[in-house]
Amino acid sequence: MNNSSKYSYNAFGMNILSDILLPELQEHKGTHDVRISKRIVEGVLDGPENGMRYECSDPSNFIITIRKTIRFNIKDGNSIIIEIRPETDEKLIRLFLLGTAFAALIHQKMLFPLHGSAIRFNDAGIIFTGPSGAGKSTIAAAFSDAGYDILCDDICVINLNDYSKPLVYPAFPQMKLWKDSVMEFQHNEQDLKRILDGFEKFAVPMKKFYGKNPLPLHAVFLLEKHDRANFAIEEVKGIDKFKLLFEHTYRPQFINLLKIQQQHFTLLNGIGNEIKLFRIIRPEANYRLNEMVTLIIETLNQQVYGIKR
Amino acid sequence: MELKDNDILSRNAAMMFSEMDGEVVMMSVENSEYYGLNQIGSHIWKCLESPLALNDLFAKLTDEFDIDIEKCKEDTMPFLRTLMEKNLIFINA
Repeated sequence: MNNSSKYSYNAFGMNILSDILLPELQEHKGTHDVRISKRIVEGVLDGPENGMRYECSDPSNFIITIRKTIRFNIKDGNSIIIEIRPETDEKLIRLFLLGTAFAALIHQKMLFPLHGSAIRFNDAGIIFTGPSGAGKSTIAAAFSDAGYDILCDDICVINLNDYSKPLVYPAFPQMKLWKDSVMEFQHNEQDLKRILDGFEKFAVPMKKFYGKNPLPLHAVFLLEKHDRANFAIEEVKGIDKFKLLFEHTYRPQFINLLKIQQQHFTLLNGIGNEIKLFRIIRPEANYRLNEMVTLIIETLNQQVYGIKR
Repeated sequence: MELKDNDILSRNAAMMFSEMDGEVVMMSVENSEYYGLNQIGSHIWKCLESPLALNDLFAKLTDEFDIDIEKCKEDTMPFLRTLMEKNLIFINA
């Protein structure tokens, strides 16, 4: 069985040994702490007609079943066993593996996954979070165009170091952009891979990926939009900061299933007290990306790094 | 429910609590409901670290904030009632 494991990667701060090819991830040589294995299942899996089913009678074994075709067994914070039928589309497996299944593993390891995209600024991590369609990936791509490295898209893994300072870990060098954002950055639609056939969201390689080590996390920007023409920016503190970090946790429903409410609560507050959180509201009608980039850089310089103009 | 001076107030131990930017943040393990307390509320919560009689709480607050007892009662009773209604504190007489 073991000689089928031939791929070695680094993602989300973990070294991974995998049975299946994961071209999205950066390769890694050396020891590993997470094992991804594959089992081919004949016949249908016991799963829901539509969507996903989560089972977690034992927190050390979190089970995700997608329709009757894919099952992930996420065990002990160090193993993902994928059960699939022989004909299952690999793109589909990877889409769920690198999102939902890894989110379960991250929660099981009691790390904090924040939903958003992260960039490197002043040798620190800055995260953009917000609801779907708020423009998290788009603003990260705009920073990338301006020469900044990207650390993650979609899931930003955060943990506290031995000095109780938050660190954000690079994920992997691919981002997902909606069709209109793909056009914005002049990628050629024909050259890009749709994340799923018939889906207007594309897998785009990151131009500048910061893929080495974790960076200290200094600030989080929550992106929202409104129907006015101006930008608005404000610092958020106290219970509102707690609320926003809680709500934008990736797959928050896994917390109760894994019975890690206390650990997540403690970690969230530990992180929250060490970072600045800003709410930035942009006009819905027109993204005006360059203005937004300038505003974010000004805010960071003045309110995080204390640089006066 | 009316509070009497010698009622002992104690925190609901099933609530997780922490501080965010100096304000107390609480969350229920059971239903994930969360609450934030303002500065004064946070201070009162901290006074209740171990169970405390209502009149001892008032004595502490009047001392620390240099206000008279009537004013102190007037200002804190609605807050304490809210904590009770939301099961954040209990009375054990």
